Amino acid sequence: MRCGSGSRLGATMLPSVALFLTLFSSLLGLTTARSPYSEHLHLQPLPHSLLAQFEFSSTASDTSLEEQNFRFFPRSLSQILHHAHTKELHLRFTSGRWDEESWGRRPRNGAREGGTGIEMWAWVDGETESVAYTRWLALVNSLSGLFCASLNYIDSTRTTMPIAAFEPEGYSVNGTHNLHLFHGTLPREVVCTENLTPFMKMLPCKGKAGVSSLLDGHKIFDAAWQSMAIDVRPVQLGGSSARGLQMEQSIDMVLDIERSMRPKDDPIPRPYPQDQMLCDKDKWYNQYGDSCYPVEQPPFPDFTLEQVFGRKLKGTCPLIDDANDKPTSICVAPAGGQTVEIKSAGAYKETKSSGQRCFRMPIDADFDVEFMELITAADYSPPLPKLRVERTISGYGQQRGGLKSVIVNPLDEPVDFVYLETLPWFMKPFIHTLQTTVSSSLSQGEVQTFRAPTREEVINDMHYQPGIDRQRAAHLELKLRMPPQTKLTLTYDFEKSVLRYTEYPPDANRGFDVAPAVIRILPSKPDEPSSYVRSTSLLIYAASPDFSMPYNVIILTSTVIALGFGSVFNLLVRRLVGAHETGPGGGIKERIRGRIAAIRAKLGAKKKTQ
Amino acid sequence: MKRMRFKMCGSFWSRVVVVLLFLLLGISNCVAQASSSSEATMHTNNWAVLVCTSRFWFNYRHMANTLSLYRTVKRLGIPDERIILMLADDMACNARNKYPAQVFNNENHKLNLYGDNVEVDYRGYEVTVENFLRVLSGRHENGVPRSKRLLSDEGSHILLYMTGHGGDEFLKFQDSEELQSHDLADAVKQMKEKRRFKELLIMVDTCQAATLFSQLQSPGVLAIGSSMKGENSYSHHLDSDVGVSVVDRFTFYTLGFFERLNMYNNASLISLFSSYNPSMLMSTAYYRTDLYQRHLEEVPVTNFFGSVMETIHTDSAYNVLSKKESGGAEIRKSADKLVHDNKRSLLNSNELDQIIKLNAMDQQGASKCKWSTFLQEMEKVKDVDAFVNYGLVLIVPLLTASIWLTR
Amino acid sequence: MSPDRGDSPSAGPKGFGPAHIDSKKIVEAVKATRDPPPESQESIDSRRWIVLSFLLIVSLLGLPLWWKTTTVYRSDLPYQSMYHWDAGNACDPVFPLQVVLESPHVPVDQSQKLLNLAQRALDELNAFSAHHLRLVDSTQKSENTVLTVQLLPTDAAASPTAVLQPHATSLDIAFAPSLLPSSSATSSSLASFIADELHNTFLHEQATIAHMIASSPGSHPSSKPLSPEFLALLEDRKTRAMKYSPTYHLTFTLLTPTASPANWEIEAAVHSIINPLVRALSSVSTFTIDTQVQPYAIFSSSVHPVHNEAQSAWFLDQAELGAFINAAEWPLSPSIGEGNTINFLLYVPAPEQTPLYIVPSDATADASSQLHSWLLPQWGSAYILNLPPSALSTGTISAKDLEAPLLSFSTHLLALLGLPEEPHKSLPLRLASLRRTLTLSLLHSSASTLGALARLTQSLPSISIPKPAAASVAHTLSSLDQACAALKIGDFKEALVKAREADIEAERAFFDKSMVGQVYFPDEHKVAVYLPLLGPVAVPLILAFVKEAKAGVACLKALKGV
Repeated sequence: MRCGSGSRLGATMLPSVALFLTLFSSLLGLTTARSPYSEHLHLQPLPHSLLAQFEFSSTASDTSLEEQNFRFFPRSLSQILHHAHTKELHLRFTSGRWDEESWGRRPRNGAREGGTGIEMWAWVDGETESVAYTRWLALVNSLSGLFCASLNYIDSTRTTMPIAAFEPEGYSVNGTHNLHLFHGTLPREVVCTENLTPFMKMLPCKGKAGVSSLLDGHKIFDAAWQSMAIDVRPVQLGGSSARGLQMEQSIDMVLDIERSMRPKDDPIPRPYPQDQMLCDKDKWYNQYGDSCYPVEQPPFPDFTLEQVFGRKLKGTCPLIDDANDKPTSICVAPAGGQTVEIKSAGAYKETKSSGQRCFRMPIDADFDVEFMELITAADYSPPLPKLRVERTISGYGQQRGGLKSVIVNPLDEPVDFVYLETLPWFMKPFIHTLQTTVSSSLSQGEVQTFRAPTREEVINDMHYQPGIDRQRAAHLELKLRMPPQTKLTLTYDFEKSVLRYTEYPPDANRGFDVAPAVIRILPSKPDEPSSYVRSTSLLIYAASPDFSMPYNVIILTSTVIALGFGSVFNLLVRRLVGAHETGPGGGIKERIRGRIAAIRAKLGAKKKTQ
Repeated sequence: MKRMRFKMCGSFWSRVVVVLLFLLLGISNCVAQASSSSEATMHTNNWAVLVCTSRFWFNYRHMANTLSLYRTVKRLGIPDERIILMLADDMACNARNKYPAQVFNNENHKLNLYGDNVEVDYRGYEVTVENFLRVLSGRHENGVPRSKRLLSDEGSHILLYMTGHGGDEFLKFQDSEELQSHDLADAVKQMKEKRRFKELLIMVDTCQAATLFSQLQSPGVLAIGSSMKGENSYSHHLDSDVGVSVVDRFTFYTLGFFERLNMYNNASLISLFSSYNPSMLMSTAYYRTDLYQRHLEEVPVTNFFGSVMETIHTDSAYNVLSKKESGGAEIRKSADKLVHDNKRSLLNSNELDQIIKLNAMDQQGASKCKWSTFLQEMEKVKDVDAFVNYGLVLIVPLLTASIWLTR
Repeated sequence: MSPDRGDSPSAGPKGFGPAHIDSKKIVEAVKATRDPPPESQESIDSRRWIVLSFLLIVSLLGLPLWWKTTTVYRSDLPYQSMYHWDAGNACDPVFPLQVVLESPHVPVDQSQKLLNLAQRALDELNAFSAHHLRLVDSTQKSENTVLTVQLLPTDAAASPTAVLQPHATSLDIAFAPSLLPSSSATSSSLASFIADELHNTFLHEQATIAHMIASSPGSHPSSKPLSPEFLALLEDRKTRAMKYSPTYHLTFTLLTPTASPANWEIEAAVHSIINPLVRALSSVSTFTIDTQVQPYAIFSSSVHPVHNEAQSAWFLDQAELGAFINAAEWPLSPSIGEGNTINFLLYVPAPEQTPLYIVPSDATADASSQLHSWLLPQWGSAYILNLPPSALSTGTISAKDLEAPLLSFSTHLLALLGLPEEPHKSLPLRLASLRRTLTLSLLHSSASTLGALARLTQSLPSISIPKPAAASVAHTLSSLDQACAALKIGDFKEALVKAREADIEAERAFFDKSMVGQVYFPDEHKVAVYLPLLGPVAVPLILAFVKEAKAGVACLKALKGV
């Protein structure tokens, strides 16, 4: 059992060595001299799908930024950063869900992805926190204009200042103590072409050459999961004292091969005609030909990049220069035993490394990769994720509810991690109900020896900042430790407060989105980068009024008030007498009669006088 | 429904009093200082504000309308930085959209309106009446980026296109609040006062669109709506693959008109306005020209729907200062040609009133009840203050009767 | 009327007690109506107190509360002075230009005489009172001096000559000493010559200012009508020039349809060509300069260069220049922060499309005078740089190749800032003249903004007027007055500063963000909101009051009667 798992662990590590390498170079800003611009594409087939990781990075020295001479570093973004005194920026546009069961560990250890929707965090310079906060608002506003997203909705009710969940990636100067970290999320925000357009405009080759020529909105936003990331961080240039900014743009996506190979003009799946269907001949009823039990598609079908992306890969972007620590512009990591063929008119260089083949594509010549079909992939097991997390809402009713997140540690080593949760102000958690239960996911034999740790053993540290109505979001940050191969269940109750009439969104009956929880897995070894896992976002249903009839409500309430007032007032000022004591004609009818009679009398009198 | 209202709720008597005060002290000025210049200023640049006000998937067509106009004005040369595009919902990447990141306005799916270069300035929840009025009046929150502002000047021509679900003198935003015709008129008035435009073309595709223009007073404003009071504007056709109607009739035929044009040739506005066929629209396109000075025959559509940057060639400093006339003569020629072709039954403003009267008449015929005629009288009352008077009038007899009885 | 009948109901059961009494009588007795017993005085008083207190509460507490909660805050604006400025009556701008007559080599009395004569000649020449020249001698030289006239007696020159210094505000006049007027002379050819020179130097600016004042509201018609071509020139300048802003962002962009050249030595070129100009302009506005490189910048679909075998060159039709800027794909977004952005595009065509020219307006133009740069009014300018293949091969554009484009950009910059063309020779004089015209236009624009604000707030009585807006209005008015005063004493630098302040504050007041909102609240909605509450509450109150009032009146009468 143990050795089995151990071997599984080994298999886990192998294909992702390259990833680690790229991560080291990309995460630690203070590496070797960076060329002004470099780009890279990493392809890795997953069952029935393809994981494509694009990465573009450009650097500019502080002096050139001061003089505002921009070459490949986008002018618009750097002006915004300078305007908002932002030293380090991380921006994420994510849609879809990463399927851990079938795809395994997240790409780049989750360091380049965000929760569903838009997530951003930045280190803003400012003497005091309030100054930094106003600059954060300025940053958010101007970014909303640049990226065509409602980022300006990240206001004080959505901004938190995490303590342990994030760490600056860039080269930090000792002097800059007054950097403030702000974090904001828009789980409801859709990611679409208008967000990709500015992203592409920032690239020097603008999708006309290089790996960016594969990027097509119709495929990206059709992907099962995609995450666009923009990371700007200060770096040290070439180990010298000169400093600069490095911007790294990355797009990771998982394309469903069968889906993305459909013709673009007719993406609607139609049933195959009977004769084209592949039937399972083992089934006895298939022999008659009138019925068919279709055989499952092979997990790794045959496809080319052009088929999947719908575009040609137009060689290398000539603007990347060779004095660059990543000379290869495209790397392919085929699944075990899968063969790959290169189709290109131009001359290309290839460098093989463990488990992956990397190529330097020709300039001005198309380049295409064909992945051969792999039938016998039964023994394919994806690398295990470090943690698996799922978060759900429990309870019922519109006033109270519970939040339950289940975190699984599949590896057989203990895991330390930080759990960050940001709740909207109208969700009021009760921290005293926070409970942790740890159960073993091991087989029966070893469960006996398993001792569930106490809450104190699990929760090493905790930071909670309660929300303030309409001003501040509730911010919960936990430092947790999990034993190997265990399942941690974290639950607490909360209360939903009722919003004001004008605070409901137009589609209030859809519910309210709760930002995903961010989990930062602390590295076991100090030099390792920490990896991230995010839960899915939640949709809570809050009591929403009937917006269609405010006037009825007004009229009804005011009528009730008026009734109450009238009765009280009359009781006070009216004098009560017996029925027989009222004057002639008690009822209103008699009165009216009396009146009319009186008027007649008057008229009669007048006539007589005339 | 009218959530916004409650913020503003009240201030009724106070306003009456204030009105009286200002009537006393301000009239002379107000009249005297009516903004006179703007005829002098030349046409400098073109802006477009395109608004899709309705949310939810089944309003796909409204977004398609707006994006079609967006594509048209871009094709005719208005740069993105001068287009304010407001989309109340996301259809392209909507989970119900079979065609991810694509929006079509025709079932032949020839043209993807959501191409590679689309810049949405206000989207989703941002599309509110307040933000719309802020864009028009230029009164923004601090830190709103330039790309979200309407930075027009006194020489600008502005195209304001709105589509959504509307009614008598209102247009619904996000199915939760309303833009009243008064709000629109006030915003336009403010723009005029601050010389934020030279000419403004308001184009509205919604039910009873004509009623939205009833309060406009500012000079230089031209308005065209898809339907008259009491009429509906209908969608053109349904796309069985997308599953909803993809375009409205008025916009569809407007696009049909523009597809024939390119950046340089100039058809006149009258040829556009007269190209609407009521039998095809299933409603009567109505345009209001009484506030507009120039003759529609002389105004090329590209004055609003496109923009050709004027260029001055200067190789050395100042000796070459010959401005290029962008073929004014051709404009007039083509305009005259197009004017004479078809005299369709497109109504102008004074005929509108008669129509309304007619409708009122036969409605009376239908319902003999006095109350309905009374209501219709109310309908026709121009200033809504009459409503208040009616309301108060209702109280007075109540009071008197009860007093009289309890003596 | 004895008090015991007050409790007559309790008498009923007493009467019913004995069975032998005939019940009919009792029924009749009960049925028989009697007058209600009289109220005790204190109950009447208490009732009156109750009604009165209710009325007081409603009228003294309820109504004021309602009024307070439902009124929008409108701080009061100085409408009169705002309209005054808008109408142009508050200040009639004058431009007294001080010209120093420096004559070191001329005896004082003669120079004084010359000065007086020249001044008289000037006054005769000058038809426009608002803009006039004042000659003073060198002792009164101050920082307000606009121009210095250097009198250089030379025996060589037969007839006097005048030379305008290109880089200084000085006019050198060489003349023969014999021309100096004698103490008794009533006229001098030299004096009139000086007067003519000065007058011609400032003629253009004077006409401009005259035109601006004449076209401003509430102006008295200008003295002499301007020539139509001059008006056309002004109109040209007006349409060409950007809207004035205290800061301008100059963005230089290198655009290439392919990957190369992706390098240019722009720092050096800007340093040598643009920076000096910007330094000279810094008295008008502040400028920021940024540069960017944009490879793979292709034309939009509506631009098609055509190849001309005869000249072996590619040509762009002039009509296509308007669509040359591919705004959809070229990242030319305006810079962040306040101020306008002026774009300067340097387009290097692809090698296979080199050279690329513009079809000249007249076909007769030979290939030597090829157009390759043009101005985009109120936006920027573009320049097509046709490089020889040798220069292209390096992938870097040298500073030398950049000189010609940047020179044309600098002239375009001046044009885009609306710098007057005259006096052609001297840049400092043109700048000074630009400063004066700018001051005037800023005064006009801020005044009209004030008027717009006033009209708006009065015509929309339900729009709120927040305190900051009122404060900005006050600030605007004060700085307008200061600017006007500065003009009167001829301190044009100060005037420009104040006028700028005024304009900024006026804009701030008009565009106050809290002045927006759905101002219109339909009245039928008001009825729907108020009527259900106020109607039913008001009716019993008023009824009770009326009743009590009548009763009170009645008893008063009774007292009188007694």
